[in-house]
Amino acid sequence: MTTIDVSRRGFLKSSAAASGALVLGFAAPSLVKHAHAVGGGKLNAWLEVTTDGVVRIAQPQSEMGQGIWTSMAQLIAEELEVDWEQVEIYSPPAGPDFAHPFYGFQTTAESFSIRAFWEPARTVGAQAREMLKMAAGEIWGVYPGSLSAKAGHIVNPVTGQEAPYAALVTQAAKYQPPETVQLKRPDQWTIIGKPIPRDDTPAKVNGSAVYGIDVKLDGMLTAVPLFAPSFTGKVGAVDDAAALAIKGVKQVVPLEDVVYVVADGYWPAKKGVEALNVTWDLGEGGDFSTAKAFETFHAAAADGKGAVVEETGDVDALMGSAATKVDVTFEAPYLIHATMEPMNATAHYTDEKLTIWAPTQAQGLMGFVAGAVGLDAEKVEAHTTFLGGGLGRRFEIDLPIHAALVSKATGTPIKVLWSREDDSRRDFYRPGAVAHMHAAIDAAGKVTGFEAKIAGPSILARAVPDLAKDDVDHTNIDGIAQTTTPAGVPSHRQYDFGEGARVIHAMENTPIPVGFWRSVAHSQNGWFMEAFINEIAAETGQDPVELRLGLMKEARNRQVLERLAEKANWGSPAEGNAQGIAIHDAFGTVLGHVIEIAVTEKAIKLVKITSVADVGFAVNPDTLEAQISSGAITGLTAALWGEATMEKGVIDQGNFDSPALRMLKLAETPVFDIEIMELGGSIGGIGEPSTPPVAPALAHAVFNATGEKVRKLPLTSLGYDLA
Amino acid sequence: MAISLKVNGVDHTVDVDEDTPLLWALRDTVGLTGTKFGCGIAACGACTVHIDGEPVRSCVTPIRDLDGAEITTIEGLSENADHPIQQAWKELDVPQCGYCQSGMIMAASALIAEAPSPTHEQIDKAMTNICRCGTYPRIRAAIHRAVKNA
Repeated sequence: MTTIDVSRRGFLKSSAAASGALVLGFAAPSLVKHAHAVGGGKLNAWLEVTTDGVVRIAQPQSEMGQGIWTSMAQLIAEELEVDWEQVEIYSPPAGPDFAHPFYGFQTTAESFSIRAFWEPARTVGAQAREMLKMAAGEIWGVYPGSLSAKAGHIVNPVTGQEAPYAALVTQAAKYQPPETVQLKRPDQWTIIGKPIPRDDTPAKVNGSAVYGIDVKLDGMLTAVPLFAPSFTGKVGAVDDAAALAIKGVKQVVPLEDVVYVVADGYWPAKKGVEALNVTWDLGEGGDFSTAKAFETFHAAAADGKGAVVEETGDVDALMGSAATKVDVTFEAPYLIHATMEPMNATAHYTDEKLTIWAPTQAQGLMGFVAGAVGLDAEKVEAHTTFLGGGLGRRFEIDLPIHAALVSKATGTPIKVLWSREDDSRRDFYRPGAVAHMHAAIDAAGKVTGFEAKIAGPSILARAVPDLAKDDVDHTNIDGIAQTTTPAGVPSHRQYDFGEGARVIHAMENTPIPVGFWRSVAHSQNGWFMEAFINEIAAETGQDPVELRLGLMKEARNRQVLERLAEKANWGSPAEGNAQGIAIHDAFGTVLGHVIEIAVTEKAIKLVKITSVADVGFAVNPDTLEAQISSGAITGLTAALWGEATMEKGVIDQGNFDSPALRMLKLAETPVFDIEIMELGGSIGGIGEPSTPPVAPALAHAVFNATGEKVRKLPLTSLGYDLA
Repeated sequence: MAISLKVNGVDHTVDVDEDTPLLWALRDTVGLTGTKFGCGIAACGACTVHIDGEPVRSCVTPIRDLDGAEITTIEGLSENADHPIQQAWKELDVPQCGYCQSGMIMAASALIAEAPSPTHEQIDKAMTNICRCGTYPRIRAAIHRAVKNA
């Protein structure tokens, strides 16, 4: 597994959209390719204008369904002043020009594309517009400031003279981009804020969209794995005679913990895997189980082991003197990602260069893949395909490394393609965790003190050890602790608990690999926090909305909650139904759900979800709406059925016929009623915020329907299921 | 052993084992990658094609049974992506990541060929494909739109 050294720079800033400093590819004039004498050419890494006036906009972030393929280009096109019909969007090879403004390397993570590129991308468009004016000014002998830009033309409003961008772009590319530019006001927007149809939809309805699994290269072979039955296992002896005898199988390539069968297609390679005989050294993980993991987590959380990440006031005194105490222990299971497109990556190794094609979220980490095959970091060229789902799994570079190593062994381009079972059993799981939560309540029902003692494994201890300094990983505490970690990363909680608060986290790492799952920290901490608030409300006889309004720090959060309660008719479900509510603040967005269900015995019918989100500004209201229902359905699937369990070294779940990998179907989906608020302030992300409030809202609805307190997920572990 | 497959009206000779699932003959041998691999056990529907007009999950359909059959994939559903289902999918911007949508469209087009004005329940029963992104609300609306437009 690969670890990453990143400078702390990117993470010292606040988690809100990065300020100013745009470091985006304006090549020095001598490096810019000059196009045809008749016009057309590249302005910079982001923009090219063809001779027939097509404006090609690079889109370097990973498109996994969020719609940023389109909305990122909306940001640039708006300032550039082009008609949307002129725009052509494409995926560029990865490069330093496309480094994420916050992280410093090209990546798509943490619902952080639109909000990180909000200023920089619009600035790219505005700077380009001004440079095109400068070109026209120079050619016409007029002051560029007197010119205007409209629909892909620079116009002299005085003389009526105009020139298409294609005629100006080569000249414009010679200038230094202006340091200050005027961005358009929201009331001037004609593209931003509009529900522009997704540019990738036509390719996704006619079968032509290329996902990682679809990459085709001359001479390419397919490699299918056989993994050790243990996360710590190593390859011992390989008997590949039977595999090699299968028609289509070309070679068998053992790596450290996996053996790849290489063939001229997936099917023969898969048959080759079934014919392999491998002995394994299982290592210490061969005996491990999720039961053992949770035993450790329960013990550590109960004892308050670990690092005190937040402490204000005298929590022990407050707890000791409280009129009422609410004490609840919650559990969150390990979760599998299960992207619709199984894991894959394609690589072509030569001793000069490594080329990668992958449905990746971590373009900027491909230098490490080059290192894995003995090449310098700059010797890698990485191409991003469409992603059939990302969910955080595609941030890992394990498959590109495997593909590069196998390509080096075979001397051919190699597509590594995992089965659904491999995908489920070789995941980097959403961490399981246990949280002991305590609240001190005074005689008037006010919360006077709060404590959370959490235990679970750390993602960053493996993925980016510098960020897990002093055994504190912000992905274990964000959403529940208000603090800054020793590594300098802020962690935020939307509630203020008055006189005292303490959060402790025990980092208990195990052989089960953990990684980034849709909404990361917030997927379990949103569950712990919101489920606990609902229990406090029930225990003290307070309305859950009123209780939250009294605890929320920000007026913005109160506004969203009030609108949600109003829209959902909170407190008045339809006859025979029950409602549950939860709201969370993450990735710059405040989003809440009211979920309405009907329950008979232990059979649940999902009736309706009402969702309200404030995103600051809506770049594309249509893709926003779609992502809100998307994140909610991820949350529903997980809350109802999701868990990854292990008994003896191997994850139990393999395919969709496993009860814990059941996926919500169309017939089971509730009606959605979604409202997007634009309260201004900073722009928020939308890829992930809809997931965290689902589990607590659903659990709350179950409690209101049945009286049973839900402290453990999935709901099936308590005997519930869909009707 | 060479087997002849008629795909989107064109004959292809494929020289792979007859137990090869149609999905892999289409993707790896014929070279049509619009039909997708999601699970390999006919649980998700991403591999749905039409065989003689019927929706079939190609990941569990060996090619040995397909001599003489008319196979239609997403690429051959219409001339210009203008089947009413495809049109409706575009009008309502149904796809998010889009990976399941080839299979969805093949299932939906087979549904409305069979039941030109499907009820809520008929849609529930026919549309069992998995969409991990959760585009289900728009899928249902787009089927109704396609019926209206057809």
